[in-house]
Amino acid sequence: MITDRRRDGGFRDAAEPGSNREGMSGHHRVGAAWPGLAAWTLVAIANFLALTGFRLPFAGAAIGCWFLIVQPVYLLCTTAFWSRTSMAERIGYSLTAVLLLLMVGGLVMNFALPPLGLARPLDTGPVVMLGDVLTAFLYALRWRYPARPGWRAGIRTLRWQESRLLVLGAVSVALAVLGTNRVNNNAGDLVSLIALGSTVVTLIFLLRWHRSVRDGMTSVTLYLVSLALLLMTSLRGSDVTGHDIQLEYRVFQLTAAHGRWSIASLRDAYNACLSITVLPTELQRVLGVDPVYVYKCFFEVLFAVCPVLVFALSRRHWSRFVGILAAIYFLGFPSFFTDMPFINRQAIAFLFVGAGMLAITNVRWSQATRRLILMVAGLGVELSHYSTMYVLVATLLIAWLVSLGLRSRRARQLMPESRTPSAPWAGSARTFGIGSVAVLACAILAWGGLATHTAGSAVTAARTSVAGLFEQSGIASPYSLLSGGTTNVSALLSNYKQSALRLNAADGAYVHVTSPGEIPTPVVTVPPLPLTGVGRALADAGVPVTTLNSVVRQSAAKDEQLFVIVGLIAFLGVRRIRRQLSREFVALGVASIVIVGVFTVFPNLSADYGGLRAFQEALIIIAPMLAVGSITVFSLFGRRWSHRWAAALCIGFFISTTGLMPQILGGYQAQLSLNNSGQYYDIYYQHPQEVAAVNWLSGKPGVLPAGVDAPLGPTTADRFAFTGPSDVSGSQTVGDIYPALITRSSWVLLDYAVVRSDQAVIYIDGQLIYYRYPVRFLEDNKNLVYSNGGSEIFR
Amino acid sequence: VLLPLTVAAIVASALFPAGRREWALSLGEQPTRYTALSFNTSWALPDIDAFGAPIPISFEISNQEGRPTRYQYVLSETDGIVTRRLGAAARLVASGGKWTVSTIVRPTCPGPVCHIEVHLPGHPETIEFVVNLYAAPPRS
Repeated sequence: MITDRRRDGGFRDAAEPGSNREGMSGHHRVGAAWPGLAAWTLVAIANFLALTGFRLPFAGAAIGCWFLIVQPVYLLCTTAFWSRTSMAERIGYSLTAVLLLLMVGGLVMNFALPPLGLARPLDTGPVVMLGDVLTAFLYALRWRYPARPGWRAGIRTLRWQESRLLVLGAVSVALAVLGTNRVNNNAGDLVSLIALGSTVVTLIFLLRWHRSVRDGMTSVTLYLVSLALLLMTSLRGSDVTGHDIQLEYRVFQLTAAHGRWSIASLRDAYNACLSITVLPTELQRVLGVDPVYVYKCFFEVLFAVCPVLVFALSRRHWSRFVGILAAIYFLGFPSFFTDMPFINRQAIAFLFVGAGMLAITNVRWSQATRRLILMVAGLGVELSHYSTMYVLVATLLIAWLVSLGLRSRRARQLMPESRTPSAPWAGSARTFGIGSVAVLACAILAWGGLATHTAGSAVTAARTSVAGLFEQSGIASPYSLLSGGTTNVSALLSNYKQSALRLNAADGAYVHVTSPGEIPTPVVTVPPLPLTGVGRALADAGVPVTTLNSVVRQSAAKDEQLFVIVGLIAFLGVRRIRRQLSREFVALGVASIVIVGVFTVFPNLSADYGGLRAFQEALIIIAPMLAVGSITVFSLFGRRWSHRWAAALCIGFFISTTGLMPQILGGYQAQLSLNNSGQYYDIYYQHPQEVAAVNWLSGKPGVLPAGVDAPLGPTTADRFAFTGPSDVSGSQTVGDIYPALITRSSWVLLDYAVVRSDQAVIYIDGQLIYYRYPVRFLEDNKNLVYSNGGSEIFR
Repeated sequence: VLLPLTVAAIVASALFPAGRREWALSLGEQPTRYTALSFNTSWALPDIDAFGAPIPISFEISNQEGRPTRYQYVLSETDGIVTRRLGAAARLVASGGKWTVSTIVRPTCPGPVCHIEVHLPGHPETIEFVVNLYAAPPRS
């Protein structure tokens, strides 16, 4: 690839000698026999370990992972199917294909084996058999359609910059694991801070050496940095920590306990996600690790590929520098490392979205191939996560409408490159149309509607969102990405209290509240981290540290939005940039921005799905737009300095959003990955005392159904903790502990935050509200029957 | 050069107790120490009873402190004004062990609402139940 700055505006770079953008090429037989022999030996060992249940610490899990994921991905990666694609792109397609094969293969076994007399089709034996069949099939496929693996040559010619980046990335991962363990053990945040610092240094050098470091090694470096960030959050606590992941983990345990997946076990949208039911069950059977670690580690190992796909997608049209910036913006977005480790179903779905977007924009493939892969990726999204599929279909629909506009006569007059069939602008046109959208919508109907009957929540959410638009709530959305509205949480809580008191007065089942003053529930403000030594020194020098942190965070959010808009204008308005792009890429970018706008306009959608998650999904497409926009903004300073300023700003935002800067200075909200305090810690961190309390309670009579009240957090999500897997149904609920809504006969479980600091959290209209909990009310009306210093149970 | 130095530093740090402790904090999960105190038949505790009538209760002390611990329990009653000790005992409980206490209390609080409380001096854990007392019918 030769740079033509006249044509690309400096957004593409020169290929360095020896670079292998293709990754692999040609139809060559794989030579030496020993790798094959070693591979089959490892397959035999993996079979032995899984079938005998013999535990080999760490090595057993590594061999299991290699057997079920790594080897199949490698085999598929080294077939000739992905000719004329980069290594990162190949890995994206191969990984998602293997995940889909595992999910669909598990589903087929799930229904095919019971009639043959095997009642537990997802037990170890069948899963190992599936792994063996998959391995044999992929070996045969690779034997029939081989491609020469280019990575071996890449490793042999490793450059010093590349080796340093790989070492830095690996050190970041190791330090992240060690540091998170230390935070869990109350041993301080120093190692975690060094790990974060190490990721920053890695990214700085990656940007500095972007001309010398090849795409493959850039991808590996980005993968390691992503993995370090994800593990710092996912490894918090000894149990599964986080919001959605609690229920995700339960439906996984449901499938694992039954040895089969059945939507009838629990007709819930979560249970319809094969990514968190069938897939982790298969992994657990083969990995031989504690099921908790399947969720805490292996999903992160998979999801860390997503920024690499963003990089590959950016490389479709732009230079490596832009690709790296785009990937950093994607993995530096707060949702990536604070929320995605808690939403495993969406993490898997994002991989399929990334693969689908790569397929759409691959102008080297035929239209039929692109469409086929898009449809297969869409199937993967639907089986992985319903909401991501809704957003994907909406994005494609809007993108199709935008494409129609871009193909109009007026647009063709404005954009002459549309008339050049060989230009990328026209080359990839019409991969998706209304037909593709209809097929994907049918997939939703077939799986979410007909097969699992779980798609109804989407209709409800859409209806309430539209209704909510016209309601005069007087409360600004806390999720607005584009507006800076603030929420009156006191008013929200006051309204809630009035409603709860009306219910209390009308229903004798509740513990009677004689007057509102009996249950004072004032809103509590979560204090920020205290200033550190550095922060105090700055404060002494007159720098308002708390304001500084807030300003940097706010400017990160606002500037990213600005850069996206500027990038879009550059795409559409600057001819030399536009003609490097495919029309569908621009249409998808516009559609993604529209989707984020929709989440801003409809606050209820944000409450149900999360506007930040929508933005994270949009970033898969618009991250390069953001990167180009940032360079364009600084283009006044000339090409070299615009790149430097854009890189400095990107790294600056990364330092702030990952929590490094607030942690060094103090004066900002504590982040779960670095602290044993803060909002997420109070709500979602599961302490051993809480687990002990739930275990104690689970053996008591009358607990379920509807017999437990507990604070928002693991226990409320964990509504099946009090019953055996065979008794789980949709009827189990855990009520909130809001004092006016406590029933006379229920058990009330107080968690660590309430016991230690009298603070409870409630979720109202998409807003988490802290309030002082009136424990006295419980003491006056119920017996305190269990106490362990970190948890209390009243009856 | 860096790799051998790193390996040497790791090996050297493992030779000292402080270094080993830091590695343990970095590599493994350290157990959380706590004591659990609970009523055994918590769902069947009476909420109303006659003054001075016997109430059988059973509670359990669970030692999760990671070492053998000597526990003392104190059983008392109070109406919010007057507190009276109903019983006490002490025992050494092995690490991970439990001590189950079964006894009978006869609440004689002066007021109608009587709190029967179990607490462990030296530990923050407390459990209690409330019983509303009524006068026992006179013997015929």
